[in-house]
Amino acid sequence: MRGVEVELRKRLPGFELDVGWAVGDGVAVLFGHSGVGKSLTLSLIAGLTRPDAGHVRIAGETLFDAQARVDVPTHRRGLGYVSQSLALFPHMSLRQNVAYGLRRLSAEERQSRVGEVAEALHVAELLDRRPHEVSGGQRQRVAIARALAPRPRALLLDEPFSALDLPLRREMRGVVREAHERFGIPVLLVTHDPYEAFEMADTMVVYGADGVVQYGRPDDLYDDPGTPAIRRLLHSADHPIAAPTPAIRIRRSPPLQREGVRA
Amino acid sequence: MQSMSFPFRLSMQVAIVSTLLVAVVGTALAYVLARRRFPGRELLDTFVTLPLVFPPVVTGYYLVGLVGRRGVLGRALHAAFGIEVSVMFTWYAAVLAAFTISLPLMVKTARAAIESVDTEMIDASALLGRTEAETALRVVLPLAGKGIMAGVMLAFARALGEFGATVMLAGNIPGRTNTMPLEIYNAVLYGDWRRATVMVLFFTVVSVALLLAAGRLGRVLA
Repeated sequence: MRGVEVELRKRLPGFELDVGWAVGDGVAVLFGHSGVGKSLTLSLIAGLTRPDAGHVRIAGETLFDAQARVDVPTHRRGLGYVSQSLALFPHMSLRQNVAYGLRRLSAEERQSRVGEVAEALHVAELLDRRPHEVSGGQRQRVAIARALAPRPRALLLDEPFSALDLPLRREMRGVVREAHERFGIPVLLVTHDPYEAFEMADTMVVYGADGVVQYGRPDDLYDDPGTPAIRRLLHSADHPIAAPTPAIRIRRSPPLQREGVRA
Repeated sequence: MQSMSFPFRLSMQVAIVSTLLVAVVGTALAYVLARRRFPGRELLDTFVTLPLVFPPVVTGYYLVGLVGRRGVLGRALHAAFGIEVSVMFTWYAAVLAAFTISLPLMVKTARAAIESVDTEMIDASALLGRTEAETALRVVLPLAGKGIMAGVMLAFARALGEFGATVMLAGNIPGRTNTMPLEIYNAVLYGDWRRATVMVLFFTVVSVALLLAAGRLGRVLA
């Protein structure tokens, strides 16, 4: 099986996540209001947080399986990850940042790989600078280049554009789309912005405020939302100033129901 | 006025060797305390910190109990190999005293610096395929570098001025273990106030300079 398939349970103080979904090799958008567990899902997939139960499979490879006692450590999961803060290393040049994940390659291969991703993300001429010496949009591109350089199994993007202004966000969506097409790996993008969600998604995984998670093709979800909360969320794009981001508590008394519409 | 060159050279030698050891051991301890979760972590922290609150004489007393001829270590060596060794009354003893007394300043300062490193940087390193050891060397320690340097400077200043534990462990032997702080005491004892004042001024200048430098480098233990 290709793509990304997860089944995840995690209990934190005052919050419980219980989700399961499967997406293909395209761009999958994890969409919902803040505080419903989208970022936590990425963190569980990346192995930064340990799930209480469930499994994570990417491109047929099991990275975590509670029952089978498989738990591949983060540094061997081979996932590209870009967070909102980008986490570029401030004490290294951008070139060193991009090359950081290429330790196992020879110096020659490393150089050509850095060149390849830097050229794809249009940052080749910036590489001798430090992170604080370039603009926000340029830092984003470098962070994505750094994540792609080791040829990851999948690219995980945790609201990486939310600090950017609108034109730059639009540009970065194009960058992600291009990178996806060029490197051919599944992309998981977390966002609470409905425009971004509909523009980017091949598959959408909607995290409803009622705790229900529904996934499938964006059009299908829009036409046939599973719950009122999901309908409100998906249709918030119709009203430009809607899409509030209140702190939402999930109450999850009935067992989770899932509406699975496969892409 | 007697020459001050021997006590000066001895003090420097003791403080430099002690600080090199403190830098290595203290950084490793600080890293473990800051980044690892294990039972007894706070107990280890308390144990390392004790010399900061103990009167140095008390720390010295315990060290004598450890490495003295009749100490725990001395008796164990005697039982195991039939040899009688002791570092007591040598400059090594002065190093051990300075090391033990200055270690907590290093550990406290370096731990705070390591804890202040953004965990997203550490996660990013792991996500890019680096092991914890590689992440420690290439990300955590460089980013905590200023705080670690501040700790080294404080530890050096403290080691240079160590008196109480040193006099217990190394004694006050002219030409062998009389470091500058001991020599100040000797000078005052013999009524040589000029000699004492010169050395006191030296300490004042060095301590103020090191504190200022450490303060500029980063957050420093109050």
